[in-house]
Amino acid sequence: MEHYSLKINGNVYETDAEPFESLLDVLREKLRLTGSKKGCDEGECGSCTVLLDGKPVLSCILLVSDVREKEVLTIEGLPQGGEPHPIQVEMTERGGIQCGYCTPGIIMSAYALLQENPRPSEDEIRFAIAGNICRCTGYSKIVEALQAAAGTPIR
Amino acid sequence: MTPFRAHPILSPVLGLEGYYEPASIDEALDILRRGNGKPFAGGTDVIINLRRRTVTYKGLVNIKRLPGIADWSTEPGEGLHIGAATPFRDLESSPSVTQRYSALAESIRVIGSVQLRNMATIGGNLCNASPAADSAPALIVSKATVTFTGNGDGTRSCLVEQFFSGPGRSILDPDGLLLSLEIPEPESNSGDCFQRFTPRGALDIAVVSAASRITLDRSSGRVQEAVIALGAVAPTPVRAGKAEEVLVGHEPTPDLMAQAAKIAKEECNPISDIRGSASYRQALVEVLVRRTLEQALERAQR
Repeated sequence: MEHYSLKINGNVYETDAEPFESLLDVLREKLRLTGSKKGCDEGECGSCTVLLDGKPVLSCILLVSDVREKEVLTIEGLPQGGEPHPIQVEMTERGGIQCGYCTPGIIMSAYALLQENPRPSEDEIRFAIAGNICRCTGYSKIVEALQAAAGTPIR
Repeated sequence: MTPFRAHPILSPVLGLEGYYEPASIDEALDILRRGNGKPFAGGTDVIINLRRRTVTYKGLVNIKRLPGIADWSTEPGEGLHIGAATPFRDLESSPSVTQRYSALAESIRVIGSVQLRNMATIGGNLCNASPAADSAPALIVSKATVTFTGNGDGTRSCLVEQFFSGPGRSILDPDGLLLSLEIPEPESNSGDCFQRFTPRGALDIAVVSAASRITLDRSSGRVQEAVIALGAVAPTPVRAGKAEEVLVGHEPTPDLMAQAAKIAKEECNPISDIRGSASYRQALVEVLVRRTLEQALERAQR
């Protein structure tokens, strides 16, 4: 076991873990940050997506040892002052959520996109969330919600 | 009533005796020579294979902290130097790569997903040595070379084309380390293109992939050199040598490119598996070779 001081959502979390444990397991089982979801646990579904130094990564195959000296942003870190982030608001209001399991990952992918490209086209949105699999919505309402959050015209 | 308690679904990473993060190449080689583990960087193949229990390793050797291993650089006219542990997304996000290395950029954009490409590295894609490795055909037509530590001391280099020896196997020794790739600057009278066929646009494995590069003779406009590389049709990524030959020295007409594509179809010998039958793969080879040749020609003529 190693001791880790992890910078997550602007806070420092202290935890012991094996270096080869996944960040997702540490988040969910040790730090009780359960917003990031475990779907496939092999990097295919995107429901575990978090930002590492601003870039979306798959926390299920990211080892906790690789998070040292880096900043992690999870879905828990998006609301400001108790208010949900505009992406969260649009996803809920426009029916971008059904079962909700893929939702945190999709929101984190969309957040990363909007940080580097505030007014993305529909194609750019679909490209950015291609690594997030949703089995409920058929994606149309998700894309509309993300267009609304970006303030771009909806088809 | 017992109180509700979440059941921890921990990911098993079994049988690991050690985890190493060498700070220098010498230290890494020492760990590997003692047989202590499998090198990995992004982990998008190594960690997943461990999880699926399709492999076991004594330990893991994380090479991401080796100096320069994740650095890449390019200067106009100087080609591209890429540290083996450079994540694909770093290359994909750089106009200096995407504007000059078309086939490579096209192959990178279809690998996994954005999240995966922020982790998966170009060296890892080669070391994993999948016959369907998306970056391999583009690197082959780009005449990329890899540099790696060999038996004993010193480093060796070879063309990417010569790096693979079978499905999941390369000429890298078990205690060897892939260090970097060099891609020569494309000539202005050349153009290249990569395409693959998959049922899904993202997070999929190629049924067939193809990359083509055409270099035109500056005065006559005839084909000076043609390189065609195919993925997922053989135990390793392969060249379509007979198809290349038929193009060289001739005017690159649509008919000639269609003829070359037919020859590529005949000269490859794919297997049938869950992703496609052998005959379906051959049909795809013809289509993808023709399309990539046409696109490569258009780019060479710009």
